Amino acid sequence: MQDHEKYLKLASFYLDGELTENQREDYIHHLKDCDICREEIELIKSYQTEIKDPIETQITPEINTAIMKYAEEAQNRKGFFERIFDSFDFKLNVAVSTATIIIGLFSGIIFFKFHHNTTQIDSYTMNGTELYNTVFPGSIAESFILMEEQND
Amino acid sequence: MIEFISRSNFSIGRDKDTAIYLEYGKSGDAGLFKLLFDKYKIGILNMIIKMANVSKTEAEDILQDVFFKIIDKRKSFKPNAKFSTWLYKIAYNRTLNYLRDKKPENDIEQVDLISKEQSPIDNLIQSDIRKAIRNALAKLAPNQRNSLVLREYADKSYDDISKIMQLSKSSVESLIFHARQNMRKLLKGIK
Repeated sequence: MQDHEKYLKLASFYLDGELTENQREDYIHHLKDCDICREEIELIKSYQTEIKDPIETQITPEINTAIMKYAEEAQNRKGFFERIFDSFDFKLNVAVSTATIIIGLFSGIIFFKFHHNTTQIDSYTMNGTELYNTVFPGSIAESFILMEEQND
Repeated sequence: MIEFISRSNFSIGRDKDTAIYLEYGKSGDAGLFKLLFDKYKIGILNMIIKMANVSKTEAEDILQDVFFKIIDKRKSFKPNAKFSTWLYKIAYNRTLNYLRDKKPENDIEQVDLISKEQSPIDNLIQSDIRKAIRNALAKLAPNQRNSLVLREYADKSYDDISKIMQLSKSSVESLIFHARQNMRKLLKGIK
């Protein structure tokens, strides 16, 4: 009897798809042999149909119009900057512009550095040779110069 | 651009209506709002009528408030839940507020466990059965009625109902179970 009461409670969850797979299989198995539970299911289904049935199928045109008018007014209530951002697809344009500037700057820096370093390397070699000769005489200076030339 | 954003919303796993509403929040395009309004207006209207047992005029007043709020809150919508769950939650709360502010004599009676109005089975036609079911629904306790309407009419899951009514899932299970039991008792003898 206690078991049967449990199954009566499960009728609700069964119809709502809230049982686990195991519970569902167990309940279906029980349904095959229990007239009372089958009747319970049919009774719930019978008034489910009526509850699902809509009472009204149309909105009064004035209400429909009032709500859509409110939505249109809300759309037109945008601020000045908001209109600019939306109309020119602002975010996309900012992203593309920023990317272009960054790439341009990066290219410029690389070009400038390369050109500058090429000139500097030559002068450093000349100055470095003299510098090293004065500070590090002899074979040590020659080693430093050789290392610098190899790095070039 | 709108299609691209919509596709990206879909790829995140949002349902279509939530994606449309998010896009509406960004663009303010009334056409997007209309898509959602046309889809949900009849369902919300009938849910209000069934929950509150009010006239169509009163239900439309509540409906108007609900969709005005949907329009006003479009930019602040956080997609933690589905749009439909959020919409029904607003409709549910507005309906409760309306009933709370309404005059006491219009309150729905608590359920009688044994119906005193028994019609002869042989004389009932379909419209009378429908009327009997609506009367039985109106006699349920408010929370039982609301949970049953959200389940049967709005087809919401127990999880969604618990979010809408701000109750635990076990409370929702209990409400729906007892609502059905009481409907059964009220409709006893009617086939």
